[in-house]
Amino acid sequence: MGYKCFRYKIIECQTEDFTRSAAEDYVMAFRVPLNDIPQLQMVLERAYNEHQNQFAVVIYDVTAVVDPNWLSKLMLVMASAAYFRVADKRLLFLDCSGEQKSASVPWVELLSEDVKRTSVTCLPGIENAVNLGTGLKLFFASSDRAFNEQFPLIFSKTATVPALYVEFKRRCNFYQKTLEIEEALNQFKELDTNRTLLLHALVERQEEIELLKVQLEEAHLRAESKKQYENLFQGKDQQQAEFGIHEINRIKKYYRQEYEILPGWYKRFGHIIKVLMGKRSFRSLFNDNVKKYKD
Amino acid sequence: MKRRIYKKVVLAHLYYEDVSVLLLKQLGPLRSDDTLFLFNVQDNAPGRLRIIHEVRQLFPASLVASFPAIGRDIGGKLYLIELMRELGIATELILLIHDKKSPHIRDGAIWRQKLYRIIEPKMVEKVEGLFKSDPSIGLIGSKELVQNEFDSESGRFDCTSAKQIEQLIYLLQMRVNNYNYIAGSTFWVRNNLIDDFFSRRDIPTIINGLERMNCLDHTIGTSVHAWERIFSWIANNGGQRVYGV
Repeated sequence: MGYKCFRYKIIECQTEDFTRSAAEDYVMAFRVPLNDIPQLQMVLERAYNEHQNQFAVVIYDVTAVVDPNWLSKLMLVMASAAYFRVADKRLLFLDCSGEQKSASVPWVELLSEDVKRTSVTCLPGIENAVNLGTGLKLFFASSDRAFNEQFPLIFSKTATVPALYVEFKRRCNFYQKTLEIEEALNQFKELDTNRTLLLHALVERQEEIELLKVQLEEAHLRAESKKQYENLFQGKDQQQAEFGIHEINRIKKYYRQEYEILPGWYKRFGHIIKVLMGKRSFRSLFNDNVKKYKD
Repeated sequence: MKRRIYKKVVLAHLYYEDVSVLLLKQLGPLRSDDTLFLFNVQDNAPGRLRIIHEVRQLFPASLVASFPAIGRDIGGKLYLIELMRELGIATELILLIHDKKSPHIRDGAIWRQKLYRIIEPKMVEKVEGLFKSDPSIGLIGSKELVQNEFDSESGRFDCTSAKQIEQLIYLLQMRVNNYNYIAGSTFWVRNNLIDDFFSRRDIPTIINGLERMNCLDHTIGTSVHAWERIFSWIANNGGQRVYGV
């Protein structure tokens, strides 16, 4: 059915042994406090050791003034090729309480300036609810910690396909939830076949759109780069463009060392020799307006 | 923190999908138990995921990152040095390399051949031998790409990035008496030089001073191109010399 979600497990760096087999398919979400460099160091080492598995970072105590050294280290963590991304954007989670929004956290903007392609979102994800108009009640409520201790689901605005958000009326573990989702979706399918088909089509289109967006961005980048190089070829620096700046510098240096440093009287004598050898016209020694050299 | 010790560490910056594949194949013979590969597949590289896939196929034990598009290959290499230091990776030699393409230069492919001479298996053996036998050598690149733009008479650099070079030498408090450098920033270097240099200089601050996205130095100078020179001068600053093979 057409919903995109990811299972994740919150890992407390200080207390948990976070080994897992490659077969276990969930995102490891390392929960670390802001500005705690030793804990982030543990995540950094893990990030590049278990490089085949996806992981993300969940930050708590987010409101303090950020330590630039900690932020630099966070960037190294998020640079890992295994860092969790949706639609080519990294997802960084803030463990915010109540109504706090990621935009209100002062250092988030600072991070986004440097680490492009980053999306910062608050957990739990109720704010990310998207109503697709499918008739289902589309909310994902997971405000209790007990729920997150199992393997909850990440839903995000930046998901590559539209997400169905289902409100759960009682506390239950992940497996019960899965059943509940399936049950809800089956009901939906039976009740509204046409909308189910449309939803499927919508999901497929959305995936195509996301893929095309990435391709378009790549094409823009290539075109921009090509334009820049074309301008270079058409501009004043065509010679440099053709031969390369290092080659030009080498020739300039050769000229300076082999000729330019010679004394003036020697150079002038050289011109007389050129006339005697027939390489230069005699008249050109006294008149700048006559032809100097043979073609 | 447990330190991991290797004989060689390869720090490779990748951006162009086509040239990356060629470079990865050429780096293949360097694979060994005592060689670690760190790759930076630039965050905005077209076909980033395909390049990463290729890296994973050919170098399953490598560490792969995607750093932001700052400072072209120079920024990528600086990020990789920072990552290496933060992960406590120790080594004797570092190879700094990138997927040289130069679409703006007619003979870009020839340039690439010259640059990559130093990763040919026989040449790697020679390089290792030279580092072992001659302690005065700090950095080795292709001899055809050893350049020197310093005019001792005027005390100025004959290139568009002269101003940036002078500023950086001052800011980084470098002492250089020979300005030979490897054009293209692809070379082998002793890690102790890199380690010593960057233990007293903040890499994130340096990266912050580099140009964003693509930049060329044909008409105006750039910090990126100044760093192309400075990378080699780290050897001279540390009392050793640049050598061409």
